[in-house]
Amino acid sequence: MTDPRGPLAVCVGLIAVSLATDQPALVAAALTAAVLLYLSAPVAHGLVLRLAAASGLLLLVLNPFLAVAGDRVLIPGPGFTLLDLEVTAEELLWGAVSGMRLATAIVATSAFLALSDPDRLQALVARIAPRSALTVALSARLVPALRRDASDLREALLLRGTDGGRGRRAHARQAAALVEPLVASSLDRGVGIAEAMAARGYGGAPFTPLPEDPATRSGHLAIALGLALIGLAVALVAGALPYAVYPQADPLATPLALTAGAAVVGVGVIAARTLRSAR
Amino acid sequence: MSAIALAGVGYRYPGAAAPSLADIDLVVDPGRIVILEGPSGGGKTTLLRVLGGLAPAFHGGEAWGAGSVAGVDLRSARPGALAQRVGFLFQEPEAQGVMGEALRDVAYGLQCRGWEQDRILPAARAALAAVGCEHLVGRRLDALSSGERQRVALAAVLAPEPDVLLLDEPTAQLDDDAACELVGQLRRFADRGLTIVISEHRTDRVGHLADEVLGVVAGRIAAPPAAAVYPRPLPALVGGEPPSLALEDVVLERDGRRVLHGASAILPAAASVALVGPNGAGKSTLLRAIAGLETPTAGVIRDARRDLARVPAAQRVPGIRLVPQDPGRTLLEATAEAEIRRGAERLGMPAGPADRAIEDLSLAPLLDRHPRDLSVGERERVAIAAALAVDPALLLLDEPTRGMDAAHRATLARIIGERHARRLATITATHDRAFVRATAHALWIVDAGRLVTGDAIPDAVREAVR
Repeated sequence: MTDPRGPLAVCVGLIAVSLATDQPALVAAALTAAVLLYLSAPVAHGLVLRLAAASGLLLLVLNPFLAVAGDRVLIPGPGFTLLDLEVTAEELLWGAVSGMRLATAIVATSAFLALSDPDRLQALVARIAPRSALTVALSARLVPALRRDASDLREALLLRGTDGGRGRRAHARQAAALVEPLVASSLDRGVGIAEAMAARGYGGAPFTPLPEDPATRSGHLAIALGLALIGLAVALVAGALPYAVYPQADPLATPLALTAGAAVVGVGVIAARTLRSAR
Repeated sequence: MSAIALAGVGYRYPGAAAPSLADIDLVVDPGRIVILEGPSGGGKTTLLRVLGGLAPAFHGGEAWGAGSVAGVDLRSARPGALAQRVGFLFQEPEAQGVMGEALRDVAYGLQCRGWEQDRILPAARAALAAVGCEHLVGRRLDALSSGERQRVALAAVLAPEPDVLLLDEPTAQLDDDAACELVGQLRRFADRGLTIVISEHRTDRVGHLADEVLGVVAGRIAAPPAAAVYPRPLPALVGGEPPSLALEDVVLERDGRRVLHGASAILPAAASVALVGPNGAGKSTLLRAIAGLETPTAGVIRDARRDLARVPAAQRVPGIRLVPQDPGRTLLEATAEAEIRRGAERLGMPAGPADRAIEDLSLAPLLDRHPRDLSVGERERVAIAAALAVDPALLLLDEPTRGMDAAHRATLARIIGERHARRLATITATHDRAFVRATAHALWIVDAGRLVTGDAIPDAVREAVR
């Protein structure tokens, strides 16, 4: 687990790039870099990647039926007040870009939480926004705590002689049975952490931050890569690499866009290696 | 001035029909040690929560009466402000941690009290050293055993040098050496003026410390209950019993660290074995491996009929049934009754054993309650009843007396004796020597992952437990 400033800079940079442009190649590059970064974290990746893919695909599928725009009609159909059955290439493209942005946000946020030391993250926030320490303490521990609770509850089922059976349907049934106790234990845990913090004196006196270790070389490099991404996002907002989806989409990839996309993926690769070596 | 002064204090949890505390009058002078004793669910923990300013602040409900702790008026103080003068050790050490790493967690309370930066880490290290846990610096809390976590939690409440210390079952998960060390330390703190209130079932460990022992029964201060009267020790095992479990060179590695080093032992049917050893030695891991929740890296585990290597955990039930440590983390159902009966029902087993367990463990009044609303001792009884409901041939109990009052510890000892009479085996991991004396035919000792049994156990160790 590392100093959170490096992962924070890189993840914010990737999300900023994906939001700053409509250029599909660049948005796809930001998503690829976020996935590479997340894969370098020492956690199980399947759940978050499935969630990101499902959320992105949902936007891709929904957009053609909610938007009424685009010149290249792929499937003609009537339009109603809230539902448009005509599907255009531009609507699909915009849905894909929006889906990739959402997926980038999900994966980059998960990568940040997985790569950052929650204690140092909490200390960092306590310095900047002391009143938010409780929120950060709860959210930084939410994913690992939920994973642990789910594992405990699954063991509870095994100890009752229930293995859930084989196949997706059995797994889904078992997962559904665990939802209610998992929510109950999460609520308990939230109250428990808040109570423990209060019992330890949180909010009773000015909080003294601990001296933090200075950033390492790899930490500096990760911050620099993040700042480079943020710089790219600012340039994109300022009008570099303009791209229009509606009414008729510009060509999908220009040499300049492909070069910028390759650079973003390259930054993701270097950041993943850097942060892995910093652990 | 009194360190603690309560007059006519009462408290009712939200939605509860009856108050959990009523007519509490309590005066404790500085430097005194008071022990609260009483049945599980009698109100000891609630009284500590009120003293610590956590109820009703975090639990809702209604409080009345007047009181002050360390000179702070309970009616007007916020919990964070009261915590500047009062240290609170929770019953479940898992609930105490705020940070992820041991040293930072101990330092957190000092940071919240606004200590100067350069004093915090040395004081946190010193507190960890005082509870014998200097070696845990840098370790993640979620990778520690329950006993180790309890020691870190103790260090965290001792480090800020509070005026009043409220301890909820501080020795429940400590091995004897650590408990003995803690008791000596508490006496020294009290001699320097620290006021200490301890809720404790194990008065054999801390009773001699007390300036006063108070009973808390049905939410009121009362005479302390009688000590546990255990049944007579079990009769010796008859030779020639077939084995109900055999361990052959069981090795278990986790995260590249060897947790069990070639454990070998034979458990005869009808035997009751006490699994003892220091915190973090590997007792829980061994029980989990037998139950199928952990997979050995090498070696063989057999029950009476087969090699268990290919038998998944769910299929080892009802033959082998584990009651894990901290059963509060494994609650699945919405009522205590469902928690007890559901497993046996799913396996198509008769209701008789569940009915008997409910009666033996006095659970009838709790059957409609949500298991999360029960005290730690009550949850433990519910979890044990759920295991007894499937009448396992081998029952594995991991620290079953944690939070359990004297009367129910004696009941559990009697249940283990009855299982022996029915030729059913039990392995109990525990630090409770009196319970060991009452329930065990033999000792298995785990030390640093090595299992020592039979004649290999040094006489001195055997005598210490006996």
